[in-house]
Amino acid sequence: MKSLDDLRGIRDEVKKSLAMRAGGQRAKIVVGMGTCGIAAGARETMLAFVEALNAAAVTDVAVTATGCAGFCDQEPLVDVEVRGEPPVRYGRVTAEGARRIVQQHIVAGKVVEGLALG
Amino acid sequence: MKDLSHHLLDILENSAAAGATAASIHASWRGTWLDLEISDNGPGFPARVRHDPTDPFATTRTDRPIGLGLALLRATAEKTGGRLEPGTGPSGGVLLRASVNLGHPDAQPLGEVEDALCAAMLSWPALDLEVCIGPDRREVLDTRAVKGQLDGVEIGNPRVQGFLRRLLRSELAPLYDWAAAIPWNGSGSPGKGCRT
Repeated sequence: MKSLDDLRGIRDEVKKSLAMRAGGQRAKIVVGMGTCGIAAGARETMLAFVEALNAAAVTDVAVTATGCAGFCDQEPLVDVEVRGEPPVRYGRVTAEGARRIVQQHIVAGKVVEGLALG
Repeated sequence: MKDLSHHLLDILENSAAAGATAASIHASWRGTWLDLEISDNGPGFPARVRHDPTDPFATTRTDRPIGLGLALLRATAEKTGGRLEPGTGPSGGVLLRASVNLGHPDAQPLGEVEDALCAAMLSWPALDLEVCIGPDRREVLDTRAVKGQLDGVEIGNPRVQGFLRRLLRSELAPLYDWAAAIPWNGSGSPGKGCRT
């Protein structure tokens, strides 16, 4: 593979920014990535989360995946787990929904009422 | 699935769920035909589904007896006159060979392969991916080599992912150029494959 030199440059910058941050990850975003989730657009949702977190300069939130949760009708399903708070499950989260969740829930600390299941 | 790249992501989910730690993808083409070969180092198909892993009622799932992933890929291939051959690779893992005629009016577009690969790296960072394209098997991704350069930084780090997405888009250009030249199919960009 070419361009691994460029990758080393990014690695060094990321390491510097991680070294400046203490306390580890404060939240986890879990996207349903089973067959039903993928067919419903979970891939676009997941990539939108990564882009929105990047754009908001949020570096202490992890984005990860899980399998089918059994509510295929509500896919893409997303669980937001903020440390010290009860987890919130969101349904039918599009890329636009992902951006709203980052702005309102992750950055401002308010559950996105129209998307949360309950 | 709206395009072939979503099928690819779904197959990689199967590998990760089965406990594989590495998957290898080779995408080649001849005329208007795309030949995909995907293998992993997992345990392979269990005996109870081995007679026909593409049967939606033969599944490894334990919560309910239906699995659609391979059935959908088979349908996607067969509606273009192609086929899906599930089998066992040399290491005992799953080996899938799919052929899809992208020149067929019912073919789905290729989609954005780099997005499928990035979503796989984010979703299952422990699953190493090796991706080659073309008849000459040109390597476009080897996550072991990438991780070797990262020195502890996670492959799912957003900045690393941004870099890899751009790099893959450029490395996959021969595949996209081939698909774009096919009448009916358009290109790797969703929307261009729409034939309404």
